[in-house]
Amino acid sequence: MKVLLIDWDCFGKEDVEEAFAAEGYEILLFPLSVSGDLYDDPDVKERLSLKLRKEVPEFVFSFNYFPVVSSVCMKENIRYLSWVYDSPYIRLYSETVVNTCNVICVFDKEVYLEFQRAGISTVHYLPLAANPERLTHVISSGRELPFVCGDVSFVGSLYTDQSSPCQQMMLSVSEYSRGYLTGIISAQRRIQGYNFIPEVLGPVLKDLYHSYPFERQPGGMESPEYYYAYYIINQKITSEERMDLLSAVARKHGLDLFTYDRDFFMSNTCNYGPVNYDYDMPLIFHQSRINLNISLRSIRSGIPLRAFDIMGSGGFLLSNFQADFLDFFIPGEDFVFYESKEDLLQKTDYYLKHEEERQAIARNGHHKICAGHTYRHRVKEMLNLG
Amino acid sequence: MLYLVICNRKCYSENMKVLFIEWESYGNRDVQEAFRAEGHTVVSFPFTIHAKHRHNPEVESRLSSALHREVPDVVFSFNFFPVISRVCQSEGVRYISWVYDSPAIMLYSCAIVNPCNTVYVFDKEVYLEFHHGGIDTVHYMPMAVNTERLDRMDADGSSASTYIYDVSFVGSLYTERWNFFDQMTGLRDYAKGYLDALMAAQRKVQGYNFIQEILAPVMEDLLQAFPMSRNEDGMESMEWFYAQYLINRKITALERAELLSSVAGIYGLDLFTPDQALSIPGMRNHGSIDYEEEMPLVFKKSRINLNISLRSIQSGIPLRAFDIMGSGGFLLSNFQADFLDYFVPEEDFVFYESGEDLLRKTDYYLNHEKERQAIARNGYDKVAAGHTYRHRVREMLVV
Repeated sequence: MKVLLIDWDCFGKEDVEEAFAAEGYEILLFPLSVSGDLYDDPDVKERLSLKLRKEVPEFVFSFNYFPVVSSVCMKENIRYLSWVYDSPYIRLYSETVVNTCNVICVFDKEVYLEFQRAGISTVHYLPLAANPERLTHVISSGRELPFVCGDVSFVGSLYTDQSSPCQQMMLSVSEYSRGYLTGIISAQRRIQGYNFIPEVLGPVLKDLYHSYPFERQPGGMESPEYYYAYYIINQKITSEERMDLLSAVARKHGLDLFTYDRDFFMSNTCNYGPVNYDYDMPLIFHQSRINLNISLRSIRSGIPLRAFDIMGSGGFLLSNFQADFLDFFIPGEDFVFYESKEDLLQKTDYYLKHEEERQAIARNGHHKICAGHTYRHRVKEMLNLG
Repeated sequence: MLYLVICNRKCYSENMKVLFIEWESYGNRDVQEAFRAEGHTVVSFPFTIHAKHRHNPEVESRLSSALHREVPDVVFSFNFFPVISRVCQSEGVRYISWVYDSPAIMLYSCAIVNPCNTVYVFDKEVYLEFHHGGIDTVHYMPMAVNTERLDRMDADGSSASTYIYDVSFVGSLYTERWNFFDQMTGLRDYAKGYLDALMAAQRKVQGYNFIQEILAPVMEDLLQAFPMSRNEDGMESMEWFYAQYLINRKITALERAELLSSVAGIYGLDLFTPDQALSIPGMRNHGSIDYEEEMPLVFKKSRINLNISLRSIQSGIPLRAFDIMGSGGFLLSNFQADFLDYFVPEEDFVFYESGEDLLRKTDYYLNHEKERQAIARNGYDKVAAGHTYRHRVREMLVV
């Protein structure tokens, strides 16, 4: 049995290949450049068609979803399994999403429900995963980090890029709109578990469009509200939230920060810049006493990949509230939620002082991952869905 | 064993003398009737809402005299008046106040901590705010209704099954002089945008009011646009004041207008509101009605009675909801957490969770008469069995 993997620069490539191989599949690769036209590229269409006719795989697999791949699979009558780990992911709103060859897995249950309510049955809910075997191997490899981990770590972007769409937008909209956007950001920061940003953009939509015109993807169904809310404004909220929470933690306990912007300064913080995902990150999670997850606000209910990375590496996870955790994990037992800035500080304090309890929670989280949240588990589920 | 039994039983006082601070409040007749029915004596002390509430030499001396003359066991008032509390404190008499206002600015008076006070608030979130602030004179007690009086209004059975309205709403739309928000002048665009955003966002969320917590960026603008001087006798923050009196009220105005219009557009609506001039398509505006004589009849004669709570009421069951259920009316209400302490949704009343849900449920309950009537009956039975003025009076006078 063959599977054709769309080979692009994604996370989890080796992990998922290993899982398919363990299910007895022969892995074939189809290189795809994600900087090209992912909707209608004639060259890609031709190459992929030829490959499918030649190899006749049982199905095609990709991380994330590519309309051009779906079009070809539809034409060649081959199933297309895709596992979307990005959120937001605008290509889900491509008209190709309803192609009957599709089995599209999303890790954010709110996103899955949105499509289900719209009658789109090609989209399914499948949380992300970790490869604890590989992570353990990396951790016990004897490799040393070029620094000593402190008490509290955060790995992630702070979205500080000044030339980002959001910064541009905030500078060029009207005063009213600037006040309005600031207001909805302040309000959303008070709420966990429900993102109302797309629902309240009405009064400023024209101004947003004027300041930063939004162009729908070819054959796309996405609304401007979706784009501005999930790609721009929620990112801004996350940026403010991460900086606010992390600086509060840093002030009291110090912080090890691993982020793209290596020039970003925060007091009482060691900014180590971007981290190597495969070889350094597992060690950081394993060695830090507390690992923070402050989810990107665009992820509505889903468990972010970062949380699986942390628990899979045997790290202690202290996370913001995301509803999907409750489907599989027990707060206070496998990981810990914080409910506000004050709660975050209190819990950081508590778990730094209660070492055994903290280690037990990290162990439980790790066991749960090994028992039900590996790539092997997910691949089996995907094959059942297909 | 015997000792334990005695200790666990509440001791209800008997034949107490109540000095009743009588002002132009709701429920005057009903609560006095309840005191008397419970075997207590009520003596009236004339007061008016227009009098100064905090320092008032005339009231102070008149009340002191009354206390010396009557020697009551307790002084009672609806709402809380610092001037009354101060006199009671110096005369060593218990002061029970039952606050039905929201927002209730007097609660933030320094007089609130007087040990003579027993202050009941009907909004559990407000109670918790004071409790967490270490103020133990404030307690939680829901509102009530006089089902005996309401039952008497239906003595000839004429109200039974003779509906004349499909969907009714009794309440203010805050379009008149109490709409302080619209009286603000000179707000800069940024502040207008910020406030519009807060209101749009808050309208999306039930069960938690965050307005007060995020007003800081526009406080200066608010102080300029609607100047309020700080109250010397008060602990309330400026954020609280503007959030509760201006912004939450405006949100309620917008929310009621939008929800009622959407219902009116499809099912029609009978509106009973002070602003006689208000005209909205599909709505019949009957103007204001008398709380005691006319309102209960409206509730009895309406198939569906809507409650859209004032946004400053955070978790509390509004008086309106008790008015409706106590009259035997079917209640369709926005979410207020305190309902869940005493009532079962879909059994005693019904919640709507959004504009769309309101329309769906209006449609459903207009078309499912028996189910609707059963729910109204259950709500009435629960209120009659545990939420009358007599029940509350007993609770207030527990030794």
